[in-house]
Amino acid sequence: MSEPKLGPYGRFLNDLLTDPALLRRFLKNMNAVMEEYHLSEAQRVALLSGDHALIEATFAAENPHSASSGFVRAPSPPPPGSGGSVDSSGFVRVSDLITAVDIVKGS
Amino acid sequence: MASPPALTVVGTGIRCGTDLAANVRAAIVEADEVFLLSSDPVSDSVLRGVRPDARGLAELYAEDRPRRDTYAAMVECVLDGLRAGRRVCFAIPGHPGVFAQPTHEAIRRARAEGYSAVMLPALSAADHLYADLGVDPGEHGSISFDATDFLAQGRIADPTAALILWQIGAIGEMHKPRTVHRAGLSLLVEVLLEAYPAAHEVVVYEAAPFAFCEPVIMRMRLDALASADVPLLSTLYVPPAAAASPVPERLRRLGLISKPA
Repeated sequence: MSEPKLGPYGRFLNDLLTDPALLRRFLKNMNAVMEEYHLSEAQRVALLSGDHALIEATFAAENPHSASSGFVRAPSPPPPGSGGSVDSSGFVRVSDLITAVDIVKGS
Repeated sequence: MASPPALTVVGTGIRCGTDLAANVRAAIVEADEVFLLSSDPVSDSVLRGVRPDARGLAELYAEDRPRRDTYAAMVECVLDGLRAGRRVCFAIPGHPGVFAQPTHEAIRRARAEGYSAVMLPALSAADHLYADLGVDPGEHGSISFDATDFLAQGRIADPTAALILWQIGAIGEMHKPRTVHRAGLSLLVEVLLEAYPAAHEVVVYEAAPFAFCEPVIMRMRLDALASADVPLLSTLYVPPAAAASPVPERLRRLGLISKPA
């Protein structure tokens, strides 16, 4: 099954993050490069803001199919009482207990 | 003859696209089956550009599902691929071996079942922190804890070494964190003030997920941290506050100083 196509903003981000030459051009002259991709004003504002959350939210708004799955940016911990194990020395392994510790940002 | 089933666990780095190492990219491209965990939709889209048929593991997360069960399901997906005779790649953000229980578990279980399994290292948030803050963990030493672990286990801060505390916005958070846990942050400051001066400068840090963005770097007095507007998943870097004291007897035994006359 082929992936649904990305909108202009999604294509721009994909190109920007995989093409070092485009990234260099963008960092030198952001407005000129964004012009080539016909981005909306809101999309340009998001890119220029440097705000990670806004950049991602703008992508998700344009490409809802790409953002339909749950992502792990905000980890959800196990419910109280379900976590934590005791090893042979009797120590609670807090890595099992703490759910905010996740494979997202610590890694 | 077809290649035997094998597991390669990889990390895709912190900065979307630009952190993807050549050997990791090759592992993703060459595997028969790829299981992908992405931290955000942009990264997911970029990685699917490398491997459009990758199977997303983020779908296994659910609000009411214990995290441990989610991790176990991820491991089972990976192992099922191996058992079906495929060369499997398990890709996660950051470094695959840091704060990543299911990757270690997948390797352990795969080897226990007789499969070849390797982990390819990748850039972690710590690597970005060293670069962005211009600090060298070898200069004064460096100790690192998850912030909740630091508090819950009564860890001891050593003010002669750098201290790195992960996820200071979600301290003690036992549900999906949506806002900074203020009480946890206050307790952290209270405990740190037992070892560091109130005016000691600390740094709140969050790596930039995109190469065209700046990282979050907030410098402040330690006693200002509790009320600071810190990002939810930020890291705290506490520089050393005192010089270490050499131990003369050990220096002598190491031949680093001569015996007293």
